[in-house]
Amino acid sequence: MPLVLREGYDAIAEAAVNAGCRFFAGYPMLPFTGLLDAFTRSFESNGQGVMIQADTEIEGINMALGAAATGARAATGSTGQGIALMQEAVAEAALNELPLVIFNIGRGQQDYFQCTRGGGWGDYRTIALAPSSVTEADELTRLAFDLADQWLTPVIVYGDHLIGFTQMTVEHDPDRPPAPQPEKPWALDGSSGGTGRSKVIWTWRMGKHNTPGLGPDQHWRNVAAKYDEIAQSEPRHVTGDVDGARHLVVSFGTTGPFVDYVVDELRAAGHPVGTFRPITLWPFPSAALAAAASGCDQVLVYELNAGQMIDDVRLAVNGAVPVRAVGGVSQDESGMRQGELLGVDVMRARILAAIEGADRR
Amino acid sequence: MTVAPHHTPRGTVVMALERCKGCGLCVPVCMPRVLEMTEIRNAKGYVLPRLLDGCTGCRACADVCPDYVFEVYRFDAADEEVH
Amino acid sequence: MTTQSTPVDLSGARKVAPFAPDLLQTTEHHLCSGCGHPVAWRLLVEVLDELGLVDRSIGVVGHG
Repeated sequence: MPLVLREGYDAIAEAAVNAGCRFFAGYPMLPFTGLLDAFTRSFESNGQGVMIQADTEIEGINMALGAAATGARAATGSTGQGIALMQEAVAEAALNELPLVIFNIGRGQQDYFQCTRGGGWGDYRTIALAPSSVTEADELTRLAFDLADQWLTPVIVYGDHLIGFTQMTVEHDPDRPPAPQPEKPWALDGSSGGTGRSKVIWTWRMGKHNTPGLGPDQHWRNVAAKYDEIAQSEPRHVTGDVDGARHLVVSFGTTGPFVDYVVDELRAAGHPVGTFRPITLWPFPSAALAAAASGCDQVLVYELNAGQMIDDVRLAVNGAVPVRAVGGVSQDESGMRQGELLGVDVMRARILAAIEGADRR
Repeated sequence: MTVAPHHTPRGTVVMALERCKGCGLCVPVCMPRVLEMTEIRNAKGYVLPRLLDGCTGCRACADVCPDYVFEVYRFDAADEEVH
Repeated sequence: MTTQSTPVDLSGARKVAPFAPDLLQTTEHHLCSGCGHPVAWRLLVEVLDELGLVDRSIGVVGHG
């Protein structure tokens, strides 16, 4: 397939449209705004698709939720602060079992808890995918729409400004056929008009007076069981060269390639260190991480926040190996972008200190 | 206000009082003022309305009732009699 | 039950208002005494019926 140079925003929007996305609604907030613009361009060149700049983030996600209810592949997005406003609607999508893709073009890595724990109500999860590059964002955007339709759940794609503004190569075949989509018999598409049997989409699934539904207890049990199934079959991760590794560095998202770069250098200098990167933040690839960490003296977590993914790392490792945080909160002076902890010199110094510190113990 | 006497009533209602919740909205909305609240209570414990003579079948009570208590009828023969 | 002292004689009467439209599946609800919601529901259902839109409608119910 031919390669083209694309800015992250365009790569994501084009991948979404090629995956069948025909509705996008959101509200501008940097660094997400570029994605709103990109969807406008992609729908225009596709000749089909609706992009609405809503009056608020809550309005945007609810519009997308409505579009999803009619059977369309629909998406919304924002940055962390706006995703925070959308939390109720995310829970609604999950408990309504509606497919919905949500793009968080974040200001950094501080939204890990937001995309894995969520702030909505009830027993629900969201699949969360964390691309490390523009190229991976293209793949994971396509995957997001497939997973959303397959499992009838919201899926979060957690990117950031680095992905948005960077140009990288992506595969681009203008004749690539659109992604196949499953049947959606539950969709409110007017097909049951005149039959006297209207369809009901309801988080409590009580049905109607004359046609009662499962009811909230059974419905919520079913939804929870579905998320258990997803946790079994959908974890994804990447392991670097871990041959002989006694120290495992775990990172996610765009921090990943920087960690890879540093660890490659350290390995070349003889340090027994390897890398592990979850692609799915939820379901977190716990079994794979536990296996990768089993031969190690310690697991180092390099994330640019006060310690969020490290909770999942600790759960996965389950006390078998010490886990240490070697990253931290790091934003630039604007607060919109990662700061100096993303620099490879700082990274190398911290990882080396942790390696040597452990060796001295 | 006096109600003109008719040999036959112009209208009447049938009330499903078991579901009345005693809100009393039917009383002020009744145009000929022929509904009044009593102290009789239904099984739910709510006080109930009573229909006096002079109903015109205007259906304002049915339109305003939140509990669908009223079914409204008109006697067309009574209108013919007046004219 | 009835509060009328004499039974209602409906011979010769013409019904001008039913208890509730057929499309309303039940008259039971737990909303407060005097609530306006059920009145709005009835009006909505009557209009949808009158305009022939029932088979082409999507209802969206809000929260709270």
